[in-house]
Amino acid sequence: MPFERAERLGRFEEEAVPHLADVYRLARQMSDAQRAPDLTQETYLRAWRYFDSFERGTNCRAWLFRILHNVWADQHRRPEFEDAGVEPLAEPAYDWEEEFLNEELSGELEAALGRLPEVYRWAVLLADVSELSYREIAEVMGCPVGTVMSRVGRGRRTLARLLRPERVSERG
Amino acid sequence: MDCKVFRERLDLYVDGELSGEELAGASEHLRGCASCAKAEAGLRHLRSSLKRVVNRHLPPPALEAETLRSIRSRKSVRAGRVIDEGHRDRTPVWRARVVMPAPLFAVLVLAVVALAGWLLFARDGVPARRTVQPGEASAESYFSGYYGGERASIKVVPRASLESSRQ
Repeated sequence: MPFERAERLGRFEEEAVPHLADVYRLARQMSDAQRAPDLTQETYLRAWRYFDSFERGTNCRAWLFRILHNVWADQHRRPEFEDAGVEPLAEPAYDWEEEFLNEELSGELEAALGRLPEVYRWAVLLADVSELSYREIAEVMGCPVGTVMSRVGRGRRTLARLLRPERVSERG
Repeated sequence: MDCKVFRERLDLYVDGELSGEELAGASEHLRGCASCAKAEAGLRHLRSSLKRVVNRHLPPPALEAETLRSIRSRKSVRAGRVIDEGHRDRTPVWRARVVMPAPLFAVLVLAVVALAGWLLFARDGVPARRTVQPGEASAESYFSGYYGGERASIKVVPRASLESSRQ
């Protein structure tokens, strides 16, 4: 193995490979358990191919998420807002019932997440699970920061409504 | 900051996207408003629940090893440019570097030198095509030279002597 390639591979293993589980989890929420491994592997093969374009010192995890988003978009090839027909709320507020704060959410939350329109699901996952900044989410999704702001807010409110409609009231 | 503005900024506040006066105003409002504090707590609960639910999924144990094996099986990288499968080298043909082994290069040089030598020396004996001018060959004369590697001679006979020989 030439030295140059060995060095590149070593750097890739050091910087990119530790984020494989995070990439997989995101891929799983954006597809399903069967397709997530393929999505993850394709993301890493593409990342390896373009690893020279990764700027050292920047957020490698966000860079991988951007590639995952592109791979996912290539495979889905559908208009951005085409989805399961769940309309996001326009002007909601967060008003939770008392017991919500103490309830452990699991299955119902994941089911609600699966019903969330994909653009909102991306935004919410990147903000809440991956904890990226709005600027980083904008780079991952290839949209302006203002759009991210709107998608995160609407996504969470829609998720809350899907989760337990009776628990979250709308307030104009 | 009142409740309406705070609720509008709640996502930004929870995501750490507020700064300066807006952050100070939101924090101050939160300290004095139980309703908004409950909204904020609910949102944080939703966020942490989401993180826990998503993170409980683990990748298949072999995925990392399989991915690395696929990467290692790819072809090599040269001069900082990836040239493995499925990815075209975008260097234009006229700017591409030609790389060849030294023995092949030496053989090519020798071949070029040999060809040049043959052109200069082996073909040197071939005479230029020429026309015999009237009066030039008043008597029998010979032109000779190499034609296709064989020496050949042409005998030129004046018309007058040709006609007299026929009679």
